[in-house]
Amino acid sequence: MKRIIGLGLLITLGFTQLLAQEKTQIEINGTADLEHMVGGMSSHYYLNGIHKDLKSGAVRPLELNLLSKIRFNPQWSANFRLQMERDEGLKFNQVRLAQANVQWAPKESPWLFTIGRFVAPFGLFASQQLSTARTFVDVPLAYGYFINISEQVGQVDRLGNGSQIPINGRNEWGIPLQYYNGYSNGLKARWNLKPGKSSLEFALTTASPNLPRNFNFDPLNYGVMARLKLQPKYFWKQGFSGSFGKFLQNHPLNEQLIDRTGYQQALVGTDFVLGTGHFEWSGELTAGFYRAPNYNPLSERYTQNQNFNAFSAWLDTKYEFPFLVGTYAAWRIETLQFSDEWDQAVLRNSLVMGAKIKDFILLRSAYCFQSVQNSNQTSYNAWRTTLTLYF
Amino acid sequence: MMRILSVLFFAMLLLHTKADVPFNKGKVVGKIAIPENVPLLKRGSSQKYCEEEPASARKKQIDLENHPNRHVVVSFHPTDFTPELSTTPRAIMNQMEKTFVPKVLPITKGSSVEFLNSDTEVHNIFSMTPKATFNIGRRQPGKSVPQLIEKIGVVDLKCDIHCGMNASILSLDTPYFTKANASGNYEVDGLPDGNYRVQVYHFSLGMVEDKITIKGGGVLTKNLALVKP
Repeated sequence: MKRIIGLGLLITLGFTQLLAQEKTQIEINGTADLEHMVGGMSSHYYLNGIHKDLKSGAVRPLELNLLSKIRFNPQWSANFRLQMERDEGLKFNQVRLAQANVQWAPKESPWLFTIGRFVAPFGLFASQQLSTARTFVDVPLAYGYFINISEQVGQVDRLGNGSQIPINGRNEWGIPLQYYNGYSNGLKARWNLKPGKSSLEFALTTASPNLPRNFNFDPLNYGVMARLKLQPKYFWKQGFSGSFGKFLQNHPLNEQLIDRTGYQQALVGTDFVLGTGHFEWSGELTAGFYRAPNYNPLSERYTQNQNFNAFSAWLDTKYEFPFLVGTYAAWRIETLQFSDEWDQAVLRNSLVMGAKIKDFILLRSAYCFQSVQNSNQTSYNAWRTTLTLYF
Repeated sequence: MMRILSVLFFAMLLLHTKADVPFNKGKVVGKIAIPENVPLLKRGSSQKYCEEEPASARKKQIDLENHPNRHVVVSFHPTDFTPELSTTPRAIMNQMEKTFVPKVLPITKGSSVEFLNSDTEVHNIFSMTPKATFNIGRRQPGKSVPQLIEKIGVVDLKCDIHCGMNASILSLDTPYFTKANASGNYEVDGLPDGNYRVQVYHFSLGMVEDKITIKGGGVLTKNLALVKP
């Protein structure tokens, strides 16, 4: 919290001069989400988004966001997002400066430069950070399902639900293929190759895109990301993304590792959006390639670095009811697969009904049918309903 | 005899009607003072916090066209007679470079607005404004879709696909309206004698109202000032 306040003060002081300029404009927006949830017997925040203590039914605040865009002049602007959410889906006490960056758009140039904490240029979903931009309540498996690779202990079989490794008083559960909030720190450049037709983004970041706690700068960690966006036809957008990075975090458990740079993740992905009439189809394929040490919690020893691969795919079909303006229905089918069964495969079907009740009120109710390999077919199902207020 | 009586009756009727609609017509000129640094966004416009994109040359031209000073509509609403309304011809709301052009489109109530997609990708237009709700779906470039506007007042438009795309249709119950130029100057001619409510609408600053009386033709000056909310 002190770090957030300190950073906020530093940024405020740093931009006092720019704010004093006559043409500075400040836009303030906000969102507030309230959630009702019911989950299956094996519910867990890291697996189906529902904390085990709330699976029998609960109403809780989901997220609170305060957003600000400061336009100093046509070339310079700054973006901030102050976010409050539940800690592991339970206590509503997590506050973070989720986004803080400065952007420079040189005059008469197809380039845009960003420095700070920004939306990672990887994948389709990363740019849908706010609930108001999302069709479903849940994020796709690639962003929200915690797999058996930890940023502190490497790959561990049955991490969390079998192998319990306490770190800072909590059992370690690993991290998703990509950070669910979609942010990274560093430098980003965007090049509009052909306006409206193609653009290229690339970034040099402080870690690979799966790392959630990527505020800290560790000289051993770095990440590179690139995203090419194309529009082959007026109804078709296609994206190609690639990244490579390291995500080791300093921890006593991994001190025995000789090669601290051994935790590596390479991601490649492609995504699309097709739209016609009141229909929209979108989807994404992601392949993750890890180089990580396998940790045995019983012997508390590491084996040599190994390769671990994971694959995810999701496909959304959305229909907006033209006779009931503001309402829609959508279906998502998605899967997460692992090479050599180093984690358990997941298949999830989600159905959602959404309604924009007013220009500032959004109501969504989604049911997920989730099956995890070698587990009860219905124990990870989840029914989540959210009320979103925004301005 | 009956024929003479009929002619006299219709002549009387005609004279009576002329008495209701004032004969003299005046002109109002003036200047709308606009505060500096007017935001392009409406307060509480529920933007989705858009990612900034490098602007193309065409987009910069459009942004100039959509300069906040060009979002001002001045209208005169008679309070002691009902004006005859005809539909606004060529009422076009264009979509170019992920921007609505114009930002504000004034029309008379009952006019049909053509929504034209002049971009290279699909757009949709929807309105959640009460009594004017519609969602015309995704449309291919070059295609226009008509939409009848029967409500009086502001109809807020958005594109559900592109962040930050919004505009307004101002549907009016009077034929006496115009858009102020970039300097805020305006001129409305052909106003029959009578009392009027003067309304000034700006996309992000909202409405300002005043009164004016037109009598004996001639040119009147009416200056008004918009204020930041």
